[in-house]
Amino acid sequence: MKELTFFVALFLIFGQIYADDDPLSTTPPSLLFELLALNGDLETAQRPKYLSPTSMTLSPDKELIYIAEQTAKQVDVFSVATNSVIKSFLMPNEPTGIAVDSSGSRLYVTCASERWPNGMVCVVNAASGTIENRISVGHMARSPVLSPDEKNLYVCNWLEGTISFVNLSATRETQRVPAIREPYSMAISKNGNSLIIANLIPDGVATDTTMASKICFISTSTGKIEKEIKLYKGSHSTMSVRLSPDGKYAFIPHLIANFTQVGGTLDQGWVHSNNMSIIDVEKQVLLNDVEIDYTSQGFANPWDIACTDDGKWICIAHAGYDILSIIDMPALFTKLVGKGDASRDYTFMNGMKKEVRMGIRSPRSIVTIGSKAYVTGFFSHSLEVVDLSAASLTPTKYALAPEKPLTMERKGESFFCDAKLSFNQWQTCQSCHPFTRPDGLNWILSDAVNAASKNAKSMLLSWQTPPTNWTGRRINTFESIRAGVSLELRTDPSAEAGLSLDTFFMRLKPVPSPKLVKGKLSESAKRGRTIYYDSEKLNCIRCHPAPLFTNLKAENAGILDDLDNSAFDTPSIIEAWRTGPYDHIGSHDKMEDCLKVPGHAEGLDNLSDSEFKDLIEYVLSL
Amino acid sequence: MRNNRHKINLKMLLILGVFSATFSYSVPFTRMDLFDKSGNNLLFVEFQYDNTGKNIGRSIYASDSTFLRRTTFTNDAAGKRTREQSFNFNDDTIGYTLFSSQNDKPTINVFDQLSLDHQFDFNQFGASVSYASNGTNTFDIYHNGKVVYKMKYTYLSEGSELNRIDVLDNSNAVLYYATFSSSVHTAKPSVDRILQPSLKIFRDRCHMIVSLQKKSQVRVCIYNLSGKLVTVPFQENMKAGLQSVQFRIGLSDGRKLANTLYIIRLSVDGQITASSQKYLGNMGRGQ
Repeated sequence: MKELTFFVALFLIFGQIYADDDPLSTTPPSLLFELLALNGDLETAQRPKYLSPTSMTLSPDKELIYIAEQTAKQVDVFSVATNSVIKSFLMPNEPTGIAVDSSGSRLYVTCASERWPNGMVCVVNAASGTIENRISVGHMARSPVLSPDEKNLYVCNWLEGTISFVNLSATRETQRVPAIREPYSMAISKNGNSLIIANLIPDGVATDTTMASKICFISTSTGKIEKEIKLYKGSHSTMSVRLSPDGKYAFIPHLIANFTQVGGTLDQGWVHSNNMSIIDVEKQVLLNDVEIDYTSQGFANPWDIACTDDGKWICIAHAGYDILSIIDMPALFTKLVGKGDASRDYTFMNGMKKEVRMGIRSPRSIVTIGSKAYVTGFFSHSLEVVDLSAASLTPTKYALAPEKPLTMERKGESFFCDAKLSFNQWQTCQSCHPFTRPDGLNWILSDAVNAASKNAKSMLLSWQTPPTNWTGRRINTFESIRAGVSLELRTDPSAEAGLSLDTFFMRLKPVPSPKLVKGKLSESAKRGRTIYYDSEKLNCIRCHPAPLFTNLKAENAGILDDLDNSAFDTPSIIEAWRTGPYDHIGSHDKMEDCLKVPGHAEGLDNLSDSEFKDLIEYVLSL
Repeated sequence: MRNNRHKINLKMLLILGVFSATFSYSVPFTRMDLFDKSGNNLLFVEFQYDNTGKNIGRSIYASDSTFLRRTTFTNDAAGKRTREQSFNFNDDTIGYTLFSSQNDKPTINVFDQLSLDHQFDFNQFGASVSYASNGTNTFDIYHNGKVVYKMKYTYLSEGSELNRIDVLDNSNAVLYYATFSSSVHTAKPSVDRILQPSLKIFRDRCHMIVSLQKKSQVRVCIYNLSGKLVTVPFQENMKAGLQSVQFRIGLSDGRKLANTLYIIRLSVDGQITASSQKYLGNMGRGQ
């Protein structure tokens, strides 16, 4: 008892001192500002609160358009009758997609962001905007689709490569199944039996010269992939999947990278062409792939597609060129009868496609009501309406919010996605570096023709890790940006474009890995970390030291390369979970295989199988 | 056996009563939750203190408990904060905040850490952020020299514990707000720390004894495990000396509490002197 008394007394004495802390010193007014501003909530000079409309969905009666506004963390409700925003609902994280039930009473809003990528589905009361439930799903959740009976919701977990099955009555995820790589958009067959999923970038090793993104069909009853359709060679950046009104066809806009030849020109899709794949949903086959550029005019970065209900028109938003393409759907199908591969036919669209120059910057989402197309642009605070049946196709603009001046960073992001920087608007920076990360392909750069084709690099941390390029022939990103625009986009960048792109690149931030558990290293990754830093056991830190995880030097990692078998710039392995295939020629699609290359990781023989797994877990958690 | 335990508890109670008069124990808030104006929980902060009561760091989590970053502090010889440094999940520095004073206003500048000698670090907000008092418990937030937001601090009672901070726009409309609690989300709230032996519950009544050095306001609050205040069953100004605190456990409108665990906190003049976690189910039915 005496001991206990002493202990309590001691504890209380310390407690008195404890009581002295002033709440204001712990939470000064600047702290809340800092926390909220870093979280993208409060506006600052450096970080104005842009809307960034990214996805639109119609109410069942087609009187309302729900607009997911990514960086504003809100859903706007746009009235078609008044052509104005009538309500805004705040979301806890950035909204990435919206599904609406058939009664129009509930919205299912997927939310995720690069700061907080753990996905959730917010079940929102459509009248009040109240979030009734939050359902946890996967990493960078997006593109929600409802089953026809509305009992289930399916969600793409983009950077995790999986699909979540959500039971709505139980308000929980019941299954998470693998897709292929970066499932970005999804549709569901009319009978509800299959999910049709667009995988954004190709899987596999980049030394495979037939590489292309795949469309997969996943059975909603088994959760298994029932069919994989590899698109035409070089296809990637499959930004959306939309069904024809009768549900027979799926339209997928994408790029075709002509990655096996030297980029001497841009015309006729010499480097990139802009295309649309058409899939027969019932037969689960690729019907054809059509070229949507003209011989001497590109229409960079087709992003979203919408069909009019009467089956007359297909609208395509070209995010790179600020153009809305309007294709005569019956004429398209008539011309496709007996037609062979149309993916390189630059005359195919002659006579059946019209274009509308939009006033909004980077159109990425379309919905149609009757003969009208409603389009939003990622860098604009307005919505534009085009009457497809009118003689004059002039968009009418309606404000969603007052426009805000673009910061240098935001301008840089806009230039990154702007084909006006490119000769005849064939491509953008985004074309080879989707969302600033690699497209997974090997390229022969126009000024490096006597060398092996090299795997596209991530722009993340490029500014902080000079030199650039695998060979390190550009001393820094400043030089690479200007050389890239000049040599690969074939224009001279203005000073404004160059400086804005510099700022944008400087500010790129890594996305937390899906391997992290609640944002922290898993137990396996913690063990792997110990091994990683143990220079006696393994010498990872010689070439990949923290915090940038590169020594900024050229090293020979033992990768065989017949043309230039030498040392290459050591890449940062931050976000290695996302940036495969690995090495300068992309010859390994698994980190395990890349590490096992003789001469790469010294001391690997000292590791047990479980230690090796732990090491991989750590590296893929960075 | 039961009687012996009762005796020990009674002895403990007296000891605690005497000690609490001189050495009142206080648990400062350990968690701050941030909400948007619609009530969406955006993120929360856990504060760490050393054994002298100094706030030495904090960790930031998204509202689903996903770790975002942790921050440690550097103070000058006078104990004044000069720098904060933030780290990611791998303990790599991701940014830092410098503290200074501009025109007598406490000022911060928040930077990205690029870790390269030949690069400059970016000011995250493009300009410094400072604040100055503008009335009782209200502050103006200056960004780049202009008032951009206001912060209003609300305390449970005058001079007592912090209850809420509102972030207001220039027309005083609430944009965001923060609430405070002593519960720690990632670990269960501390249990049976001091008061447990002296917290006597019989049926729906609770009895505690406190020893007061001077006339003080005594208050008992019951929180749920999320740190939300459920009810205040006792609040009285009491004279110096040994005082009996008796109250009925239940909601103010007479309804019973839901059957679950609660945190009971006793504060004297706003300083929390004891905290305990208790199962308060079926109160009033003979427990």
